[in-house]
Amino acid sequence: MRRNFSGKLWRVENSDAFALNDNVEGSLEDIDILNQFADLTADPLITNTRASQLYSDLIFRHFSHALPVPAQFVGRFKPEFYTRNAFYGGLKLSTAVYEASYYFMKERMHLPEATSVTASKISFNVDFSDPNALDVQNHPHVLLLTNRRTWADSWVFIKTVTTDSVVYPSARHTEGFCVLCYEIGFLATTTSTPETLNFVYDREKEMCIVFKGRSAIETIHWRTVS
Amino acid sequence: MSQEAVRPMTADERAKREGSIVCKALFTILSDLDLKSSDMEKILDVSRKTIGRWSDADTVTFKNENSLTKQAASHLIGAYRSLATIFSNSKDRQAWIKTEHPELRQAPIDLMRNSMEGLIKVRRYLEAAQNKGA
Repeated sequence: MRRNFSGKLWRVENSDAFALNDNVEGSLEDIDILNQFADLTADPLITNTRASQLYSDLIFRHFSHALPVPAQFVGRFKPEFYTRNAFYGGLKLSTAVYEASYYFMKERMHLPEATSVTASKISFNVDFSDPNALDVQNHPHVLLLTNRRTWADSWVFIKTVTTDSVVYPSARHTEGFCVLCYEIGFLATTTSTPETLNFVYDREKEMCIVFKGRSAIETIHWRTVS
Repeated sequence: MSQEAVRPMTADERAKREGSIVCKALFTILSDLDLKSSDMEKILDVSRKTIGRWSDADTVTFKNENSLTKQAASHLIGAYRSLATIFSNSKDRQAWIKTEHPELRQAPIDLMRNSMEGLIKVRRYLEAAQNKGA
């Protein structure tokens, strides 16, 4: 179903601005040289465009991967070799938190008990508007398109339609909705001010508690998102 | 007060600066991930003598711009960059690198030690994991 759709898209991400700065001693110029050294063997990024100057890096980075889409950056409705980058967001902060909690727990569940299990992430939102968005919530195969374990059906589907955005039920957050936007022009150029969220994994109970400041805002069990 | 303009680095100066910071990064990774010198030798395909020379000189040198050792060092630093984004704690990074991973089906350190393909696989995996969210 096509519809005029607008709203705020929420994301929860790792904060990567200081990954090397925090761990390798050196001036900012040294760290810049080190990042360039690491990038020598990375897939090249699209950087020198008008959008790169116009948009917040939190938005533009999702459109900066060289195309066609390399294997490590596939996602739902974004198959390998697809010719468009995309920005994913939840329509509520809680949906973005559920989506992020899955990946947070996935990388920690197999680790030995002695390790610490907390992480700081950032949350932000950006305004989105598409007069002709593709809403698949009533699609007869919506359960396949939003399958938790495979993106395969969404890849087949997206190759059969032409659209700049997809609205779909979240695979991780019951009653939550996500939006995938292929067209950067449908997003505002700036985001809300990023806020810090702390994710804590409780291994015994196989759940993740998400704190904003000192308040727990979500408690999410692995079985509800996996 | 001096009004001297900042002079851009020459290619030679930049190469020296790069050698020095890459060396610092490699030894930081060795210590931060609690790796053995033999792990680094395997990952970069260099001898113990070369590692010792880099340590003494506080700089790394590569045979040429396209040497496999240089590529491996670049991949290793890229992998570490993503790992440090996902895990802010050194103990978590050590655990992740040394524990068999359900999707990679081996401990990442073993993949990285065994071949350049393994090192690239771990880097690509971490880059993807780093970007997951929403």
